[in-house]
Amino acid sequence: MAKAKDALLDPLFNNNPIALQILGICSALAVTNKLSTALTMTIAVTLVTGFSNASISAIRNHIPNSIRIIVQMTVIATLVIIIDQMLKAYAYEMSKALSVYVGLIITNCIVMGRAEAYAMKNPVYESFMDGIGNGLGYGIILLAVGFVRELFGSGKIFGLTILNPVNNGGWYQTNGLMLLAPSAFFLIGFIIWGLRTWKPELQE
Amino acid sequence: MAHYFTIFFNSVFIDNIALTFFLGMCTFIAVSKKVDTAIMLSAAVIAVEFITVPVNNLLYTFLLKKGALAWAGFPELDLSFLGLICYIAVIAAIVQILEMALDKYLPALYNALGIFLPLITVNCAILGASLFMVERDYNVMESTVYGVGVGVGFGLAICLLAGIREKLSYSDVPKGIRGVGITFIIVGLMAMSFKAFSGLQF
Amino acid sequence: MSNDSTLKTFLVAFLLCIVCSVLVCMAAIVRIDREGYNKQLEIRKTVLAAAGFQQQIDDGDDIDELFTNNVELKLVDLANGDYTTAVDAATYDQKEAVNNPALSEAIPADLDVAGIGTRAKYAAIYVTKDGDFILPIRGAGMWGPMYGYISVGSDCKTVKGFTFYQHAETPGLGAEVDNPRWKAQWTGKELLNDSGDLALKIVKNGSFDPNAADANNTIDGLAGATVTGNKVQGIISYWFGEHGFKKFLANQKAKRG
Repeated sequence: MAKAKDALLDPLFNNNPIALQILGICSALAVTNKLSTALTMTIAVTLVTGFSNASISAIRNHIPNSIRIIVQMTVIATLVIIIDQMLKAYAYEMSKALSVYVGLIITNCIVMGRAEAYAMKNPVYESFMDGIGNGLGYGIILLAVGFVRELFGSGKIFGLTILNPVNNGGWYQTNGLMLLAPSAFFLIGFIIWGLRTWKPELQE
Repeated sequence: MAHYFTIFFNSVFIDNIALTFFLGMCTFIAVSKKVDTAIMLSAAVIAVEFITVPVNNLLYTFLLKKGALAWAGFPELDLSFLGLICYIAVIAAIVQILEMALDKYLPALYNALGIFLPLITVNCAILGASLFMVERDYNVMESTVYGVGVGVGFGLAICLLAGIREKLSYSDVPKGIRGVGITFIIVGLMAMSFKAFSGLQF
Repeated sequence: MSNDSTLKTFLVAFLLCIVCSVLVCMAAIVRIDREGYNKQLEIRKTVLAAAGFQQQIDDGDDIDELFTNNVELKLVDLANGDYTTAVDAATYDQKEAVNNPALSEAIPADLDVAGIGTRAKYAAIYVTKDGDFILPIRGAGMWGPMYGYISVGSDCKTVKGFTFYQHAETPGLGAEVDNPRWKAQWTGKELLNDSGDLALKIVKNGSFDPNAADANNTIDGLAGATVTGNKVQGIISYWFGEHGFKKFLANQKAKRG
């Protein structure tokens, strides 16, 4: 049980997939200009890593070594397609906002990396927790970036106006840079800086 | 001709896949420490994009698109939801074939590119290019040009970054941000400078 | 049985494929079931928004009821500008028709100011009880295609409302085409002049002068989104030109005197 707890909590700060392992930044930063899309992406990635870890762990003793990678890929792709289709069915507007980025979860290195590094060697429950933990660790960064970008870029949190922007007749001059790609890189750079100052043992 | 040039120019500079769409970031950060390796990786990415994007385009047009199976008697069938799994399978297969072909006919190149090819299979920039190609409704010719453009754009970005990082080793960076942290900031600055292209029109 | 034997490899691969394809198919069936409804709802919302029912939508009124009570679907043959019954309006899909050579025509490159390539022969328009027309428009935006509706008053020249339901413009800049304050600017502007030619133009942000003689034909552009402004101008120019709804509006105007 203690191991499962570690598997869940460790990836949040001590071994955060984005900030420390530099995995899985690819598909998701473009969805952080709004919190709602960042949250949906977090949930999607967490579900995929959790269930792919669990199912790969469940069949780990039966996977022939020669087709190991393709088996993992198939399981992950299946889960991603299911999530993609469900979003299209029940959250149509959200799926339009996320466009191709849901599909790109397949090539998100976190999912594949955890399947190969953890799920192939550990029992189902712990693997599931590890997957959820890594998904959440990824989500924390995503939500932090999304929070700053939406608040300063459009003056909103989850679409609710907090700082009333000038072009709606308010007082807040929105920071256009926050809505563009480069700001996400700066924010992640600063998050890494903060995290490594807080936990000096992580420095390079 | 001008149309193809626009697609190419857009995909290299304006919609640069690494700097505007954040795709291929894992490789982008991991393999940009030295210019030599960055150049090798760029060559591999361009080659793979050049083949996979048009192949996936054919697959989409003749098998997956709504109405594409009309010749087989299924005019209403829409298999585009199978796109994801098909594209990734095509990419994995083509990378594998390319690897074997290089090994057999161009062993020198194979030895140089060797480790980068398998890495490319899970590079989001490759899958991303195929997905964008579908979303933008390109035909075969357009998607070939687009594939090459995306590859060149990614190559350009990674080589530039590698050049900067080589020089960076002489700088005294604060401890906490040393390594990946400062790399992210640099990528951000590069992305900003690439934004300058977005006003261009043809 | 050893894990690496050929038989086991095939067996595992086969079973995995069966399980995965069953799961994927189930997901796809659910999605296909809901897709038609989702798309219809989206179109209805946009049409109602363009027709000036945004307030009721925000109040949470039933979209379908609002729609059936207030607007009526009609097909226009763009070549002669008259209503047509050549195809069944209820099942006609203008977006699909673009891919069907029998229902679409290529646009000569020099006329294609909206950057769309081909255009459906028939346009699915909506008419409100007051006789306003809600016309579909589309064209290339900065990053991807833009789809929307523009509503023209019963005098056949005044804008009543304007909305895009699909676009990929830069958030915060071009995507401000969705800003209610910007869209409100369109309402009441004169789209066409008395001879039926396009009169409306989008100027660079900040250069709009409310006291100028042509203020009634001018829209203040979006800040930091000159390209999007130009694209929208192109879309309007195309759809209210010879190839678009010009003939239709002229016919309607003549009919209504």
